[in-house]
Amino acid sequence: MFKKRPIVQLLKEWSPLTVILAVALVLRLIFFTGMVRGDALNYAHAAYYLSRGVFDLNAWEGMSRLGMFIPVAILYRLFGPGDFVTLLYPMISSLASIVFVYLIAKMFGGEGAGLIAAFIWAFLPLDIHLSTTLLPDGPMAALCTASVYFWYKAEAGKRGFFYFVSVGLLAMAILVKPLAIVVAVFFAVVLILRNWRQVRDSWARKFSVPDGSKKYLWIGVAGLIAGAFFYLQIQTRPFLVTFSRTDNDLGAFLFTGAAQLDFGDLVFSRSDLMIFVAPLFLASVLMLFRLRRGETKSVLVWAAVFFLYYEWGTISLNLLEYRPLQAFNEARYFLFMLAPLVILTGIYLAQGLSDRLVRLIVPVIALFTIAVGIVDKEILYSGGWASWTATSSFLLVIGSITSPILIAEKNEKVRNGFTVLLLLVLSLALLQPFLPYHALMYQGRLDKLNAYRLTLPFWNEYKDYPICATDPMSLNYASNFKLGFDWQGKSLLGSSPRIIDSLPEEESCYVLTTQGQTSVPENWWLMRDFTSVRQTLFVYRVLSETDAGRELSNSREALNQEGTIENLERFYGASVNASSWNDIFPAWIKLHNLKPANYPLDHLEFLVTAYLEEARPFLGENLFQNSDFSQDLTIWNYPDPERLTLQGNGGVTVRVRDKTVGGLSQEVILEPNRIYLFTMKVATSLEMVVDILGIDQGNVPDSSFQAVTADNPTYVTAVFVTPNWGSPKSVHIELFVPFGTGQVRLQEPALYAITDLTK
Amino acid sequence: MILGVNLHSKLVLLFIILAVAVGLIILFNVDVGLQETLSISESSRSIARFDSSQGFWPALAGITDSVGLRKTLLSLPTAIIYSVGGTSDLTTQLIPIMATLANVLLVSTLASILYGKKAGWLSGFLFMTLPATLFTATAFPFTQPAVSFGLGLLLIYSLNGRSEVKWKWLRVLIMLLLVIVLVVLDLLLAVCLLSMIFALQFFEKENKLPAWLLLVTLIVGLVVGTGAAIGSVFVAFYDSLVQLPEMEVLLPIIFIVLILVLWQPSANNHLPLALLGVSFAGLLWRYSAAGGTGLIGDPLFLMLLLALALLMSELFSSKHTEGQNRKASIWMPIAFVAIAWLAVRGQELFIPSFVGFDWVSLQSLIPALSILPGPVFLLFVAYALFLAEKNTKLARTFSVLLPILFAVALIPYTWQRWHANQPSIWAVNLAKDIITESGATLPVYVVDDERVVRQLEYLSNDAPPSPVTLVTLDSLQRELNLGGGYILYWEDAIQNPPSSWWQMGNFGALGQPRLVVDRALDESEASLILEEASATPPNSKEDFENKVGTAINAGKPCLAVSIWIESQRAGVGTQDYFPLFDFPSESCIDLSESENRLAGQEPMLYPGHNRIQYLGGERDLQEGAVISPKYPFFDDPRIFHLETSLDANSIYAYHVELRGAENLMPLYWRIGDDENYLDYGLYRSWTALTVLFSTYGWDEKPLSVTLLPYMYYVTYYGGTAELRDLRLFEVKLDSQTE
Repeated sequence: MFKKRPIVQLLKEWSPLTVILAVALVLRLIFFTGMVRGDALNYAHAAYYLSRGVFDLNAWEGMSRLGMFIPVAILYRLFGPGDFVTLLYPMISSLASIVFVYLIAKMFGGEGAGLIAAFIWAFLPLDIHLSTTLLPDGPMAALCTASVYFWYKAEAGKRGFFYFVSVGLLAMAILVKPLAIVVAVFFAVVLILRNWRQVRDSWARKFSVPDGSKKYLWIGVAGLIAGAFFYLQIQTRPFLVTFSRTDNDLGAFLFTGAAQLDFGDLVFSRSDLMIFVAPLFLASVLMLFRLRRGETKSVLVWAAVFFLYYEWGTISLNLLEYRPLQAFNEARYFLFMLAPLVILTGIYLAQGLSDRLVRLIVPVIALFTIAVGIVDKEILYSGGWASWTATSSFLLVIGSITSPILIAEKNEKVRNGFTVLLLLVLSLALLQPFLPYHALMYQGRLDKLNAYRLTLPFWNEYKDYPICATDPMSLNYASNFKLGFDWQGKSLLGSSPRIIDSLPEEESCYVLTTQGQTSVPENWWLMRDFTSVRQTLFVYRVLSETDAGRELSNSREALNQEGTIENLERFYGASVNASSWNDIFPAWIKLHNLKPANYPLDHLEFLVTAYLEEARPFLGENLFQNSDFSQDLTIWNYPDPERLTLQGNGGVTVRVRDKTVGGLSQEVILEPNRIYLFTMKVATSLEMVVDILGIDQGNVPDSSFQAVTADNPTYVTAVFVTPNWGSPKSVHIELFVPFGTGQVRLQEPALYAITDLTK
Repeated sequence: MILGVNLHSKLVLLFIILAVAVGLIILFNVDVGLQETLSISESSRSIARFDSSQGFWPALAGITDSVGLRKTLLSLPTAIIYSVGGTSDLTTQLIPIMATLANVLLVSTLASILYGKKAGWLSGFLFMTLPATLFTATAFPFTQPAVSFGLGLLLIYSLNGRSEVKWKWLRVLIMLLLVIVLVVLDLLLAVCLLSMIFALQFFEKENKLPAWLLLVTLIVGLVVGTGAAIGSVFVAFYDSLVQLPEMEVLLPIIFIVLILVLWQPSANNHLPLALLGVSFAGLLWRYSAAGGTGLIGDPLFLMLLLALALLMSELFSSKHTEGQNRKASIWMPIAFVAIAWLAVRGQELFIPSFVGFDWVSLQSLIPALSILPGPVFLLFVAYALFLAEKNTKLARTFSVLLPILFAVALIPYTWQRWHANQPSIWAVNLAKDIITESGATLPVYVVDDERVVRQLEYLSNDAPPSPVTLVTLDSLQRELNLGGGYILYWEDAIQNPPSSWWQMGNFGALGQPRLVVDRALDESEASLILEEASATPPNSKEDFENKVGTAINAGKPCLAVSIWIESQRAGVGTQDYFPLFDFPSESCIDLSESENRLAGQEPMLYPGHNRIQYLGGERDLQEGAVISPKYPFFDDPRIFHLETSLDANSIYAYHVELRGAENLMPLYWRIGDDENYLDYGLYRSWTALTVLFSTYGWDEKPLSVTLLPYMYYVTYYGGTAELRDLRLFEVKLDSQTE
């Protein structure tokens, strides 16, 4: 159909949609989620294994979702693995959803409706979020919407072939996620409704006999079955209780945001994802019907079937078990359900604008909004920008409620103006950070994935031991599967995996973890850390006793032969691995003086925290040995302030209440150009966070703070450097500033001068 | 003719509506105990005790100085009632209750004026069934009165267009008076209503463009004027609004009704629509100014819902036939009050109050009613889509069915709010009684709850038999060192109370922190009293209880256990359980040869707990088991239970060690209709807890017992709890030692 028309006309016809698609693409790249959610990495691994010819249906519970990883496997085979190739599938699916939403809305409401529906889908936060991660919901939504589109085409009687295409697409959608079967329910309902007269008549002829006895027999049988079903439900599970809990879950989520979104470490009891746009959806459903757009009935049936299924349907194939969908607690599962609602909204809003105006204005609004979106996303959600997107949601709710008057307004200018404004505020409102379905929430995980990528050169350099990674799939994915990992215990032919997922007992390996030195065993040698924005990964070498002994002896010999930095580092690492305390601290001080960037003071903090007892001989005199800390700031409601004195190693317990600002303080004379180390034992109750060691601003540029929440006494350390004051200076040290309610116990405050930097 | 409306034909109807409203208010009465009511009662009591001997004005000035002019004015009516009828719950709640009844009538009258008599009773019915109406009728002193005056203002305004109304100057005068009172009651409400009346003048005119321009200018001005900050306030306000539990039902209905009304607005809808808009704006304003507290008690919130009731009454009554409407006006309120009674009180006739494994595992009928919100929403949509214009017969049926379904769907939310407040208020009454019964010889210390102190003062009409002091956990011990006292605290406020505190009783609803009344005495004094008491053998319940309590206070818990067991044997009716908190029970009770009746028992998961993932590695309740994570399923604290049987006329020890990240309710037992549990508290580290209970006085046959080692709610998904060393054994009575 394209060939017959001149290219200019085609461009003219498709350019508004193209602009919307381009805007959608840019939005999805700005709010990039990444391979950091749910089973995304499992799907990527399944695809990679398949691309290498390994397939086992039982390898993992998601293996039946062939539609999820076969397309990715083909792409891997063609272009090789990589983030771009992996995310091509969900991204294309997302853009395809826009196209099919456009086509269906256009079919029922004209081009204007199509463009507005496409515009809304382009800005839909849930689709933006899912378009850049390998989860099934985006592709399933695209396939389901496409399937419905071809079904409508077939129903319109143009070509019977479209039924075949539609069913084929639905089958693919089911292979992506079995939940897509709901679309088949919709098809069945459409068929029944279309042939309702025939069905009714044939049933009536078949079962209705003059005396009516057969009819009653059937009703009785049906009643008995229903009764037995209900009885069994009661016996196996409190159907009524489960049902009432499920009731209105989806409705409540749409309108009030009530939810149980479980993200492992984070749980959201509500999300604003839909609450500002739900009134517009509702207005569209109600008003379209009242505006007598009879042709939209079938879209309404589509929406109704989805809604009813999500609200009260069961996902269990066992008829005696009622397992409502709400048990999954994930909003992304109903992305595909939003398609009919978006289409209806497109058709509804198109009542307010002529097609010509829509073609002109919708791309302009999209481009304007993308200009807002291009602003760095973090700036977008702070200060004035945040107020404007929030204000848009306010105006969107007001506009949705008043839309019945204004969209049907006879004055064309008022109608057009209102609709344009509504579209503008809609697009801005949808840019709000609706957690947990927003890139901001996953930035930390994305940083971590990028930090994994930063480690790759390191692994090229160090190949002598395997890599023990706490998140092996992420590391393997970050290396484009080059490091190798036996995913689900499956080996790839011709490759030996370098990654193993846990540290084997009595064996050696490089451990890659997010845990800092204070949280790992003392004999793990911290070789390197890799930071990407706000995430730091640490590489430790962990050696078995035999390997550590051998390494220490070899490195000592090497250092004695040639005193290079490399040999010194090797020796230091071996001494840590072998727990040779007498060697650790002298080696570290030397390394710090030689390579301060690689052995920063933070490392010393870690070291001292881990090996304080061993370090004491190297630390010198405790400057707080004879100090009396006394109460300095207000400690609210403390019953006996005069008892608040901490002498030397003696402990003191302080009770604090909410909003306390205070602490113990002490003046001390510090030398210029010195590294000082502060240590103290602290125990707090769980409700409390304590910031340790505040130092007068102005005297020492970098005050050191540590948050502590620990039941048992824990050493806290802080290392700071004094500036070049010229002469010793008196500094006011504040010992703690607690936040919260509880008790804090302080013991053994100590301050050591570690190194004179002038020497 | 009153105010131009013929009320004569409505007398019976009004009687029914008022009777039903009174019934509902009684059913959902939260009693006097919330901060606002206690505060006004306090100032009213002081005014009622007005001492004019020092001169009228100086005395009045003294009161005004202490509580402020506004509060003095607000307290005056209650003070007058106190002077006449004395201080009681009825006299305290009289004004809000009367105002609520008046409001039902006023709403009905307003709807009659706006939409005709068919809508009148329906709007009154819808208004009185709202959770906010029923809660504020007894919980807040001025919400309903403020609404009354606001409604009065609207009523007079709505009579403007009626030619038959005379005495216009009188109307102006009444309006003026109403505004003055309203300014005192709620200035913002007065401003909102006056602005609305002013703005409506524009909409009444032929050319409505200026009105719309005014509205748009207002919204644009708000956005531009606040530098778009209104958006952030709105989002926060909207979030708090939609989180009100009843909004699950109300919010979509509000949207549906608004969309339908706005599609074809009639002139009569202007007032309710404007009222809804202005109430929303007023609430938004108050939220931004006051930081979003107290939405439920805000008269503007009630005004907003009232506008919804008005609009809904028009939407449905317009489809009613005369006969249908008349019948519905009688059966609908009666049916509603019957269902509400059944759900809240009547269910106890056939469903046990807490653990009910008997009938589809329902805790109450509330879950059954909770099935309604979804269908109600769908029916509203269906009504809007199909029925409003087509199929008149069906539309008529639905227009009667939907209001009652809507009202019934809201019952669980009304119950929820009542249940969250009433038991804790009632608990203070019972605590006061037990202290009074014990002679009230010691000072009363209330730990960290000023409301309880105020309620005790209210209950004793500011003359408590012993002084009541608010203390913190820190200052409590210092106060007790002065010679002991009665200690009132909520279960979750004190963990493992000292073993020398005698628990006189605990009061409140199962499943919520209960109010505990303990007694502490100076140990030497307690020993002296004990010595005196031991001189004569105890005979009565009081004798035994006093002796048990004094033994505990004297630091002799094992003696207390023996006396308690003796009292059980004697069958004098003392408390049938004995909580053991902070002392090693083994030192008093010989466990060596006792058989653990729970050994090897398989715990039965509570039906409906469908997300339990892990119940201990071996499901061994002696070795240790973990429940993790718990799904917050229908707010039910039960997880698993055990069934066993006990012999009559014995003493049993029920013991567990547990820890968890959530508040736990340990050691639940149910014997026949008698059920209880030990405590409600947070046990972060392993804690051993024991309770003794008695089966004396029961039939000779073995008794079936339901045990739940612990129960808990979760505040978030994944709350965990662990237990170990679960035991239930018969106490060998020969082995008791002192």
